[in-house]
Amino acid sequence: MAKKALEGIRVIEFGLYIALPLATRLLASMGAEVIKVETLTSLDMSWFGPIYAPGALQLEYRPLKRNVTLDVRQPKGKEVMEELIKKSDVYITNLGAGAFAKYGLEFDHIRSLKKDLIILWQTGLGSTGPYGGYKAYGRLMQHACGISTMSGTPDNLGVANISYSDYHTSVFNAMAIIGALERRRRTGKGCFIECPIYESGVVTVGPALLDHQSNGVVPERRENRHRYFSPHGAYPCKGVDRWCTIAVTSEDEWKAFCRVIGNPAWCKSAEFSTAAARVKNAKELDRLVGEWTSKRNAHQVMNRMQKAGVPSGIVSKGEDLARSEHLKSHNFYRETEYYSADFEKPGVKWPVAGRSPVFTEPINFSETPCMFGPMHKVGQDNNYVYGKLLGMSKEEIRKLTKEGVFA
Amino acid sequence: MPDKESEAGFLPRYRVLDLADEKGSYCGKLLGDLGADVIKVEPPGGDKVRFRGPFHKNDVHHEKSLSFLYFNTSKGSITLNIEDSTGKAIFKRLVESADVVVESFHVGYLAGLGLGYPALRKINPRLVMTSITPFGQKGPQSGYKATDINIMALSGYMQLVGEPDQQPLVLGGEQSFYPGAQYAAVGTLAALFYREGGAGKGQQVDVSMQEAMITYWHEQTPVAMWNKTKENVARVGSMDAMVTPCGLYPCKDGWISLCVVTPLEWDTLAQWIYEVTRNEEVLQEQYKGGLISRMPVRDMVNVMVIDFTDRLTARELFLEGQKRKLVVMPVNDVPSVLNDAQLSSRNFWVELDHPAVGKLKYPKGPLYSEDIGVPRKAAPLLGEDNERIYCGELGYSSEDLAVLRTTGVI
Repeated sequence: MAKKALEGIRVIEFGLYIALPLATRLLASMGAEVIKVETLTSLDMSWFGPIYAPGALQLEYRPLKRNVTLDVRQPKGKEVMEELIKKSDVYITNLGAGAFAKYGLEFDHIRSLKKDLIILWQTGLGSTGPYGGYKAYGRLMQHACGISTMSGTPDNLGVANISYSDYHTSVFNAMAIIGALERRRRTGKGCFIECPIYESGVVTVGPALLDHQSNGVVPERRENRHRYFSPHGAYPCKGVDRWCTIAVTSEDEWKAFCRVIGNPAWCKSAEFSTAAARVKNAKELDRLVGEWTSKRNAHQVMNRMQKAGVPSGIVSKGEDLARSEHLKSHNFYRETEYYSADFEKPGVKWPVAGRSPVFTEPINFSETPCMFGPMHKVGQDNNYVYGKLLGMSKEEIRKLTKEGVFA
Repeated sequence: MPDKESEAGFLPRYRVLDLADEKGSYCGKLLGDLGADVIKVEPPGGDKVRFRGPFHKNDVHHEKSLSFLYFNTSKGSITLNIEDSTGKAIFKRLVESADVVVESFHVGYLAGLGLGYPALRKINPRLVMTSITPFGQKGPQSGYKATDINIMALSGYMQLVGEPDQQPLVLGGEQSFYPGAQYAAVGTLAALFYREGGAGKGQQVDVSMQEAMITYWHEQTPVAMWNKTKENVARVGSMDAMVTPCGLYPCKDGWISLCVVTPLEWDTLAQWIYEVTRNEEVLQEQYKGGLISRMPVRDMVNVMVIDFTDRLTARELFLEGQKRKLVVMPVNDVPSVLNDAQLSSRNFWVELDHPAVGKLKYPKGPLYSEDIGVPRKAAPLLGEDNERIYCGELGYSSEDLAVLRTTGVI
């Protein structure tokens, strides 16, 4: 088997939700050994999801990770955490400063455990400033960072009901950690990095931030219309809630587009003869394009446009992603077993709930391909981590399990 | 090889040849802002992003595209016609000493010029070649053309945005240009880490923007849902379909967003709603519980929440919410982000001076560390590093340079 890009790197993950476990999943897929430290005494809320397959959501966050149970609120638990950190290269967390103080795991202390440790602290609005340490959710951060007010219709903000900004943070987390590992190899030095979700979101509205400074522009919500291109939109197709997007971005594409739809007379009209005229009359143009597309199947529209070199794409639903020959050719979705949590007695039982498909990493390396593997049950790796890694005896592990330290 | 230790940056001074357009430019910016030596390799007329609006003071000029200015901080620029045979030869010389090539051309374009990864690897086995394309280098749709809206559509992201009975919507600000480029930066650094860790060789890093964007909304588990229920994730407007309350709510002076995740958060919010509205209904047992337990009574809950948020301002809700350990976030527009006290107090903005547009403030990036610097310089002028690279590094004389210019090579 080929060597992995991050082989030999050990990461301690101490946190929850989306951005943090996704970042470490990405590191694990590149060969890092990720140990997720959690306690069954307060189970991650995302074990509830999705409603039609409770537990299956965890597949997105857990492939290839080692899972241990540890209650750091107990003195012995804190000690074990310290031993784990001493044996690791990276420590990543998204808990609040208050929790660290309560557990006696403040960063100054963590740093004193291992000189060249890389620490990544994912925060919400940031740890300092007037709102420093404020409680935050990635789900809501897309609204704070400006995206929502730039999206949608004049009357309604355009929102995806997901934690959009979290995903930016997760990839930035991974980038920061690999950069810090490279720096450590070069300099022997550890590193402390904070990555706030808020600012991960703000960086993705960059050009609009400059446009406001330069031109005083406050971005309009223009549905799917583009400031400079038309036709540019999602056009209705045959079937229920079926749409195909088309974007004409050059004269050549406009000519090709007209050819595909059979060169109707309106293609030649003065209203649409130049890019500027098309943008000006976009509403009418969209109506005409929609008339043509609505008599056709979305996939057909996409394929005919693409064949002629016009950028287009259906609005994919879950079923389209599941059936996509293209994604299959990349082996992008893979199936594996997942477990459901027993909320009455957490950790007592982890029944296999079934198999479910999950995305894999969108990076295709020619030498060190990303790995994918099953998720482990919570606490499944206690014996490996506490026994093999920390050298505890079986009796000791049994004792600490009984005392509720490994719980 | 460039001297990797000459500047104590977060990253070594990796030489990155950046040929990417708007689809991948952000990757080079991330690497450059972290300390890499990124050189934009532009066609003699300029990278096409230079001709993307909006422009500074609405002046359509190749040094004033605000997209180009944003995506190209901390980079240098040379001009080079890689379709010309002399240009190709020069490019190959640049590749000899480069660490990374980043590109986002239509799949097969570079191979057609004899500059695909197999050819470049022969010149420099240590090279990492990173490609950021809409659908990746392989597969039946790899040749498809796509702009932002097509990628947002094919990734399924648009299926989530908008009202249930209305058209699917794209997000503002061409959001699909970020995830792919961000993953590409991760992949590039991982490939360099592997190379430097003893492997000694580079590799190809192939990123699909569609797949990157798919991973950015996957908490909705669309494919698992289809497999289990034969149903599709649908648009639900600005409030979550399952978690209640969660989403955008009108307030006295605009909009706020809030989300209740834990049972305790609900109890706290219910008490607060009661204090403000004196509505006893909200305290009833049937509304209590965690994440999705209010789904059956979603409409009733949202009515009670709106009656409450309507009576307070965004600021009151945000600040008092924090006191009660609830997450209520303001819905900021672009000017309020620029004027946000939190960002200013954290030195989030860096002022960079540019010869053609002057001083503007740029986000320094989302990472805070005393070991990570800020973007070093504003975007480059077209070809501003031609002499430094061609004469200083490749040894051309200024006479040679004049010939290359006249013949359209640079």
